[in-house]
Parts: sequence; C-alpha cells; structure tokens
Amino acid sequence: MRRSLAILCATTAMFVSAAIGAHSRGGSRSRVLTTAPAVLFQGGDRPLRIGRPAPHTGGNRAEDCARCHVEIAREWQESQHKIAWTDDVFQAAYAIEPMAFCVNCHAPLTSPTGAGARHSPTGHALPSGLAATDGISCSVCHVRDGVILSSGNSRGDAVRQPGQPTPHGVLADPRFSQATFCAGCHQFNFPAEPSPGGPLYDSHAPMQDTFEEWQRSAFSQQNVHCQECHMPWRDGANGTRYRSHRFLGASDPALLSQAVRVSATATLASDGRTINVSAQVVPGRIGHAFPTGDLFRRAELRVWVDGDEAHAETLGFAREFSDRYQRIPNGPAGFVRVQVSDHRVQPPGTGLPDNYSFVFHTTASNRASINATHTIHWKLEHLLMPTPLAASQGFGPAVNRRTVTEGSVQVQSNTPPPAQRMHRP
Amino acid sequence: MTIKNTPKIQRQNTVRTLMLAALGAVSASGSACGRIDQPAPVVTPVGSERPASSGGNTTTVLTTTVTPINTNGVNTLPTTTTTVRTPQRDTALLANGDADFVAMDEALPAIPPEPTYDPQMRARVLQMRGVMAMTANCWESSPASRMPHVADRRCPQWFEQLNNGGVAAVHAIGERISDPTSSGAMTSQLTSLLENSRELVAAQYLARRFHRIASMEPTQAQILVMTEAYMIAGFEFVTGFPVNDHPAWVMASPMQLATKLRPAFIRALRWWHRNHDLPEEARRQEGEARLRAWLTAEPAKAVHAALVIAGRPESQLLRTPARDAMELIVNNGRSTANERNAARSALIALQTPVGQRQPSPRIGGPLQLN
Repeated sequence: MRRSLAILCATTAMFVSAAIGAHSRGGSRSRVLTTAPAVLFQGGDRPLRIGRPAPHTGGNRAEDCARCHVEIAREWQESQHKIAWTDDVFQAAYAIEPMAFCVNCHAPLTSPTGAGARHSPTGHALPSGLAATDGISCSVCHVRDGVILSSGNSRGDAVRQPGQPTPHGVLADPRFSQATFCAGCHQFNFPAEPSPGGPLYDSHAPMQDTFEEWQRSAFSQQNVHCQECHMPWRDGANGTRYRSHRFLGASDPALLSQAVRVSATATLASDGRTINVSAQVVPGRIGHAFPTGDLFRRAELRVWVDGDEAHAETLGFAREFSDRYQRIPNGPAGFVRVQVSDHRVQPPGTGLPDNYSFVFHTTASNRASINATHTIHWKLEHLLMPTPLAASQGFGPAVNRRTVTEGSVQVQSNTPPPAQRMHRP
Repeated sequence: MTIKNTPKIQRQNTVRTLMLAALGAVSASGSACGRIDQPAPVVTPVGSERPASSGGNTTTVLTTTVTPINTNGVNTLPTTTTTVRTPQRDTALLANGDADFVAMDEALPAIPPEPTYDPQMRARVLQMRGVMAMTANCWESSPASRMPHVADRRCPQWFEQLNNGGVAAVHAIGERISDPTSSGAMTSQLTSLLENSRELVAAQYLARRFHRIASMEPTQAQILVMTEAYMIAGFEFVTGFPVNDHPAWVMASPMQLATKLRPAFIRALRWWHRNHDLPEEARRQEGEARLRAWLTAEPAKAVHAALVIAGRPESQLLRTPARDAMELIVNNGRSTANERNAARSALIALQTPVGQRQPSPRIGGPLQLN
C-alpha cells in the first residue's frame, strides 16, 4: 500500500509538472499553478477546508461553476451528492445520531463561524444555506486554496464565447481518476468521537469498507477504478468529452441491474411433488461487495412458486454486527461494534461461490396439482435498511427497496409422472 | 394462502433433512430431500464411522421452512420447503466432531441446570446484582444506531465493574440473560461480558437462554430475541462453541426465521451437553478436529469459522489451527480460486491481533500520499 502510494505521489508530481507546463505554453491568462495539496479530504474526522475560490470563477458556489459548466452542473443537480445532506433517509439517521462526523462528509462546506452559523446541542457546526442544500458540490472536490483541481483527462465541457480564454487554470491531479480519491469519503472506520456517555467507540474497525472491498477485487487488479462505473465518460457538445457527474450508484436502475447476476434452474422430482430450485448469485459488473456502503445496506433474494410471492423463501445478504466489550487500542475499555459476519455478494475475484438451493414441496395428492405446470420466480432487491427499521422510520418499500434483477424459470420435469406421459401426443 | 403447519411439524422436517445432509444422502440436485413423509435414515451414533458418500458434489441442508406450492385453487395440504446450500465436496469425510452440529431428533435436549455458587460468594454476587441494577438504563440503544451508545456517563464504570467482576458477575449477568424476553443491544452486550469472563458457568447460562428461546412458540414478538440469540449462537462461545451455518437467514419472514433458527439452538445445546465439562485442552482439540473436518468437507464453513475465530479474543486457542487450515486451503490444488482468496482474507485477519486492524486510508486522519 505504502509503495503504491509512493508511486502515486511520484506520478502526481509528474502530472503536476506537465500541467503547469501546458498552461504556461498555452498562454492563457490564468495564474500559473504550483502544486496540489497532499491531502484532499479530511474525512469525517474534521471539517473540510477548501480555502479561497479560484480567481475569475466568481466563488465556490455550485451556481458559479454552473455558469460555464452547464451540462456537468445539470448532472450534479440530479445526483446523490447534491442531496447528501437534505436526503430524507440521511436526515432520519442524523436525527438519531447527530454527530459532527456525519456533517463533515454530508455537508462538508459547513462553516463553524460567520453569518448564519449554527451549532448542534453538542457543539458541532451545522450546515445552513448552500452548505446544506448543495451537499457535496463542485468545490468540495475541485477547489483547494484558490486552485482548481481536475483529472486533466476531459476535453472540456465549459460553454464560453469563441475566442474567450479559459477563465481559470486547471491543475491536473491523477488522483481524480483513481479509487483513492473516492476513498476520501467512502472508506472510513467507526468514529472515535465520544458519545454523550463517554468515549466508547473503536476507530479501528471499518464502518464503510468500499475502497478496501475494491482493493480485494479483480477490478483493482485490472486497474479499473471507481470512476469507470460511477462516472462514465460522456460525449458533450462540440466534441467535448467528460466524466458524468451524476455519480451513479444504487439509485440508478441501470447500474444496479448490472451489479449482481442471478440464475436459477428448477426441476420437478420424480414424485411430482417436490421442486428443487438451484439459484446462483454471482457478482456482475461491480468492483466491490454487494451491497456496499452503510452498514444497514442489505439485499434480499426471494424465491417463490407460481403466484405465491407472499410465501417466498427469503435469503439475505448483509454485514452483521455485535457489540463487544473490549479494550480500545490506546484507549479505555468499552463496547465496540464489531462485524461478526459478512454474507454479502463478494466482489469479483474474491469470496466463495454463492449457490443456493431451495426445495418446495407439496403433499397435494390430486392429479391436477401434480400435473400443473409450475414456474419459479425470483427477485433480488437492494434495501437501504432492514424492513422493520425502515418501517419504524416511516420509509416504505418505494424508498427502501429497489429491484436489482428478477426472473422466472419453468420447472422442468426430470422424470415425468405417469399421468403426464399418458397425455403426450 | 396461509401457512398451516404447526411448529412441531416444522421441527420434524428440520430434523429429518439435517440428518440426510449429515449422512451424505442429499445429492447435488437436492432430489432426495424435502419429503416429510420420507423414512428417517439410520443415524450413526456419535463417535462411530459414517457411511461413505458416493463422492462428487453434495449439498448441505441448512434448514427447513414451510411453503406450500400454490396450486391455483387446488386443495393443498401443509407442506415443507427445505433450503439447501452448496457446495460440499465430501460429506463422508465429516469428522466425528461435527456430530453435534446435526440435530438428530426433534426433542430439545434437557435444559442445563440452574447454576449454583458457593454460599460464601453470595455477598459478592449480591453486589454484582446491584451493579447490574444500576445499568438498567445503560443498554438502551436504538435499532437505528450505527454505533453503541450509553445513556449515562457512569455506565462505563459499571461495565468495567461487571467485566472485572469474575464469576460473581457472571452469576449476576447470567440470571438476567436467562430471561428470554430480554433483547436489544443488551443481549449482545451482556453476552460479551459473559464471554470475557472465560468462566464455564457463563456458557451454562447462555445454554439455558437458548433452551428457553427454543421452547417458545415462534411468535412475531420473539423474532428479535431469536435473531440476536442466533447471532450469538454463531459465535464460538467459550472455546469450541458451534459456528453458524449461515446467518443470512435472519432476514427471512418471521415464520421462516423461527423454523430456521431452532436447529441452531438445538445444536448449541447439544454441544453444551457434550462438551461443557471438558477441560480447555480437550475443547481445543474438539474445535481443531471440527476445523479439520470442515476443511475437507466444507471449505466455506472452515473459512467462516476462521474469520469468527480471528475476531474473537477468547478464541486464542484456535487461532493456530485456524491459520493452519487456511494455509492448507491456499496451498491445496483442489481449492477453487474463490476458496483460496477467501482463505487468504481469513489468514490476514488471523495474523492481525483482535482490535488492531491496520488503519485504512481514512483511519486516524486524512489520506496521506507521502
């Protein structure tokens, strides 16, 4: 890890030099940029400080960027990043555990001082105005101390008058194309923040583990980073090419449908009463476990016969946690939430194969039942949280559940019962 | 359509199918299982040789539930659904040590006797009971919480007293945890304190709790309690306790869940009856034998067990055998790529001291690139 970071650092320096050279040669009126900050994100541990806006941009507000970057801004408006703070599900969770840790990532531009500054009863700053409504906006990623950072790979999406020079320079930073960039917010441990009752958290166990899941995956080995799926390339007007800023995730049906593949076979046993279903659940186009992210995320595979969905067999995929009393490293003893099992669909190239068999059996003795043609249906759904928890928070299935994939298979007869053979032409 | 089976019928089905699995009678297609009216196979007594399987892939029966096939208006009698999981390569190689993990009859094993203690300890137990009483409000934690919380600044010191309270604290906690209606964060937290004690009587209290839960009718109200207890049953509670098959079933419907969980409690109780009075070294050997058996027959279960062992300080005795088992999987030419990868992950976990996981990029500070 350290070696790869060192290589990355060296690469960064190389790119930065190239970017500086390019801007100098281009003769734009933008200032010559020097270096990108070594640290881009403070994570949930402390508030993000992006510093002053870049010259000639008008400010750090999303609307300032949107004046020229129309298409990207439109995409961002529809993204989960935009509603990172205002999202109803997040707000429900924050109401239960109102911690600075949450604010630092979900409303990173929150200012503890200045006009309109608000504070929680426990003393941490609360977002107001655009810091709340814009959530993770452009400058959270792209602005540091008057410098605009970008991957340097896109062919510009900005709309400007012909002949008008670029109003600001861009410092190419290769981290923008790499998974480590996303890890800044999507890989973190349980916070070390003290609870009202005392400092009882262990910050050595992952609360969200998406980056490390990716590192274990075949995607990492093939150098396929998060951006390939979550920020796919888009062709804009006038030959521009840029990465999508919708930040596609589980809320995107198309992406979700590619995450996991389910296949099944169903056979009728020779007794005519037993249906054996074999279902295989394998990762699809996904570079991390499924589901990933928040510890409440889960998936359910339901399998049922004919129209009897009410009595479907259900299999869950989730991480399970338990509170254990132990000495916190370099800290006091206390209850620590530890993961005790992980039975999610593991990323490609890892984990054990997920093959499940279900057997449905009837003791119905009449011929009509035995001869009936049965169909096995299955549906894999992504859940934001366990159903009882969702219900307690007022979130119905429309919010909580999204279909990943579904299908059906006709039950094949291994050895047709005598009655069936009689009716064959 | 409603489920009409009585819990008794469900239990019977569970037992039969589990027996089939243990004897290698379930084929890869599962064609031999699921019949409730199938004659019970001969059960090989614990410690004796098992019949050899025909080789090749076999499946392990996890649990059963009740799902009648909808026959569109045709009368359907209560039916059985059996859920099985693959893969399992050679059931015949299951070691004798695995026998406890197969529920061989539907009857609940006897309830472990109520623990007793020396009268001279009474004052100390009463003191610990007092501490337990003080913690009444410490255990509240919303199911929506992502982290454990305490309600009072004094809670940590009470927890510490209970954690250091020795066998007297175990009795005070055990009396509380024997109540099958207790639930919430309290259950796992109190159990954690019991585990930390390393006292054998702690396992006795937990076994009593399992017995009482398994005796209950599976009503909706008991689902949370059962789920938590099932999770605990999945731990290696004091060295050698059974490891769960697959906790994923906790998200099944209440009735399915109840049917699936009961065998886990029965397995745990059977284990307790057979092993509770064995010395620690004997329990270590028993756990090691089981790991070896799983290694051959069900690598997935061996990996799962290794991960559980890696995360539990009280499983120190089994860390070396688990490490050996994972190395065997990694180096075994018959292992699949997925099995090897999973075993490597378990090895990494086993090589990392409990609670000492190395920081990821976000841990302990910002992402540093130099």
